[in-house]
Amino acid sequence: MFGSNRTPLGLNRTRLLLSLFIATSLLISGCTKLTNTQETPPVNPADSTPEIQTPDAASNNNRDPLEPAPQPDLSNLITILNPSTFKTLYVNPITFIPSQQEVPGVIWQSTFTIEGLKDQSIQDAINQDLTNLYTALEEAGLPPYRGIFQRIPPGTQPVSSNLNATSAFNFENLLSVAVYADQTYTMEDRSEYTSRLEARNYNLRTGDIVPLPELFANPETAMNRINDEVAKMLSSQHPDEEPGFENGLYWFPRLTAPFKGLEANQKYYLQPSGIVIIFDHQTPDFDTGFYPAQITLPFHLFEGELAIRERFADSRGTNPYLTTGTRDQQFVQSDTFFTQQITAGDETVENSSVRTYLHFRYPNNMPPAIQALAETTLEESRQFLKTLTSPKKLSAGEEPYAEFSLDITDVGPFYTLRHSVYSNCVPDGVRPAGSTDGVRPASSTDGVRPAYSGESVFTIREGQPLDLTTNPSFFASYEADGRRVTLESCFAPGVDYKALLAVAYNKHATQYGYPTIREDQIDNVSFLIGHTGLECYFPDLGSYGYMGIEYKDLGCENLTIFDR
Amino acid sequence: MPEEIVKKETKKCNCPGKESKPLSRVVTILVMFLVLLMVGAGCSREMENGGPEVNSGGQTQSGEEKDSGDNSGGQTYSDDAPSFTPETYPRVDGSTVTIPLSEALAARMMDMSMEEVRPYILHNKTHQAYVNLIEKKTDLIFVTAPSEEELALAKGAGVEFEIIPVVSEAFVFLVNADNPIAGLTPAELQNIYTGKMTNWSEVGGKDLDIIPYQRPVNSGSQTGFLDMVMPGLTPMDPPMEQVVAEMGMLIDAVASFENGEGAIGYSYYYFVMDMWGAENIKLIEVDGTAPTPESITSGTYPFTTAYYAIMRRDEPEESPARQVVSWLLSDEGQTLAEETGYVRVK
Repeated sequence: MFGSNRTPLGLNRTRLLLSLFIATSLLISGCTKLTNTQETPPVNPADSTPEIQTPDAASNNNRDPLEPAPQPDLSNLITILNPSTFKTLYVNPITFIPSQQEVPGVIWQSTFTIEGLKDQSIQDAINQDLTNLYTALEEAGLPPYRGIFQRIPPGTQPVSSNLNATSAFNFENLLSVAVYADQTYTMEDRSEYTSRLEARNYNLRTGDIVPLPELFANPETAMNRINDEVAKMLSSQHPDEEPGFENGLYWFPRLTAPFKGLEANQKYYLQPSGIVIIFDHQTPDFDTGFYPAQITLPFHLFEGELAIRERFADSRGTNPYLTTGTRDQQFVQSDTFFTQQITAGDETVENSSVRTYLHFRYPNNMPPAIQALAETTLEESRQFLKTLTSPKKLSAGEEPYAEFSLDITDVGPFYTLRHSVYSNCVPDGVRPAGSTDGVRPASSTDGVRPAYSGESVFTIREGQPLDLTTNPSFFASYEADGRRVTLESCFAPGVDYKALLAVAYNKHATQYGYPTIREDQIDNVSFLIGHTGLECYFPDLGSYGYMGIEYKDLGCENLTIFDR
Repeated sequence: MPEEIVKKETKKCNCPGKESKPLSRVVTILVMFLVLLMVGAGCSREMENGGPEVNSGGQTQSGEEKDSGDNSGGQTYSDDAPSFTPETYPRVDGSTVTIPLSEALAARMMDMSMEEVRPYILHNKTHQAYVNLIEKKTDLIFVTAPSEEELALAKGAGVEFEIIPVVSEAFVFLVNADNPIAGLTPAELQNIYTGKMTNWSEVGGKDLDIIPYQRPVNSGSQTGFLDMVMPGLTPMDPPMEQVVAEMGMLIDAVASFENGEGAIGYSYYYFVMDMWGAENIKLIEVDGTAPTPESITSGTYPFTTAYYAIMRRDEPEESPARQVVSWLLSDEGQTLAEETGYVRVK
């Protein structure tokens, strides 16, 4: 990509010839469009065998970094049959070298380059491309949004500029970088704010820029699928109506013309939850104002259609990183924002003496056991709220209230449940001994709010030794068949998980100034399996007991949850 | 459309020769040669009236090849159009739906590509455009019809609108492409949307529940639906759904059209003609007339409307705003509108 025209970056002549030879061989054997990849992805794809084909991506060299990418040539991309579904993501072991610059109140820049690739030329080219992009954004004038000259005269200099590069996705040998350039302009009578977003998606094996269709098993039909999903999302938001209608979502991009479909060079970046499509001045059928709009297409929309692992990680290539060994992992993040994929509700349960609220969100199409768990919990919550009575001791003017929320999220093969309670209705007799502040105003946000009761109200709570006064949230993770996941089962047999947890907790505790934990205090731990780590509550530590512990701090080789 | 609106007679462009564009010598000679040919062929009247000169390929003739980005389509244009710079172009505003029209028009008038012209054209959405016109912050707006509120605002400010339809539009009903129903009458549509007809078999279709989707309250489409299709009638409650709004809050919203077998919904022709997935829907006939560019322009399709150019009535003759509107109403201007995705007004 950064080399001469359409030569993959870092591809030396020998490798190029080898690729051509292999491609020719495949062509002769009639296999170019039919590569069966049903084999199980290797546990550590970085150390797998040599790749059989290298897709050629559009060169980024010698073009204006801010211009739209050229239309990609998809003809060299093979179609991958039966791509694997992926619930986890392997972290790329590269290092981000940050660079910050600040002139207080005027300029703030946070950018990075990368280190850790074995092939120095690929690394240099990626870093050069990123640097070119940063420079172009720094030097760019007004972003060419429609109508901007009517609000900000051409040539006006910004009074403040921010440039912020983020690594949006660093998995499976793909690196997505999103760079935001925000500027504020001050005129005589007003200020205007503009934002520009540019993105790069690199194949870290080759340095190629990855066009959107290349993520898919069948690049030829990829844009059809993307456009189908974008059209559905757009339709749900009535984007052909001007903002102002009832319940209109003002942040959603508005259409100025029929949505005719995005093209293969569409600007995008990846996140651990899915593909983020960027709408801005390069998509003039959308009116986004002076800033970009984004929508996320969750990976699960394309289950069985994406070939990220096969194309980039599972291709039998040598480890492209200086680091060897087991790669860290995370779970693909679920996205439950759009109601097409969730069951949700915000209810008020009838109660003459207490204001009640019940909020719930969970995915559609959950396994029967998890569905039953959700419905049982919901119904019990309703019944409890219905019968809740106002406590006798409330401050003058304070209204009794109780607010429950239930969220279930799918995390890899697991389902995590959170059931939280916020209330000032702590009945007499169940306050903690000696407590005089069991009742706090509804507006209180300090610390953990008091819970409603110490009784075991919900069947799912039975047997849980939770002190609900200090721990009003119940959370746990379940297997698809409804079995609750135990902490021990998250770890490989023989692993001293308590020791691992203690080390990981204490690493953060030291940073935050918390008291440290001893192994013998790791009992009755409440936890859930999150996307990037275990969320734990260690009851022995009281209000210091909540801690998110990342999988990398526990060592993925010690965990079994990614093997399910 | 409210009765107060007075449709102005459309008139041909009468403003040739304004700040002619720079032409290369070769192109100039070519144009002069063609003009001479046309004069000889008795075509000068059409030229004078702003009508396009048709070359052998059926395309309008231009003085200069344009690098017009995403709208040129390889077309060339005659030099009859008034010419402006960003400094002399009238202050325009308008609805979101007319942005492409406004941009294409400005690109033509200022001899810029669409990418070049886009930063100069700002539409502040329908209501604000009206307010800006009333407050004399803009000279020309491209908008949907004014509401009673906007007419009252104008009246209160002593401003009289000159309202000129510049492109046609129609209110269309869409069903699943597999729905065998070819069309409905206005009365049948009213019966469906008041809940009196609930099964497609009642109008000659399958034994299938009708799912009549509506649009959000106060939206442009819903207002058009009530005005054009349901005057004096109250529609049934629409299908609702919950959507997640900002901050994760759930709100009840009018369900968006889902192209199920029993579904019927509505939209404006402009937004559905070339939309993604159009092959999966069918625009039904109303009173036996299908919505086509021809039936919409002629008004034989029952539910037609327009997008308008609106100026203050005291806008001076030959002002930039009037020149722009005049050219838009010319055959060449209408062709430009058509190429941009709209339906000709004439």
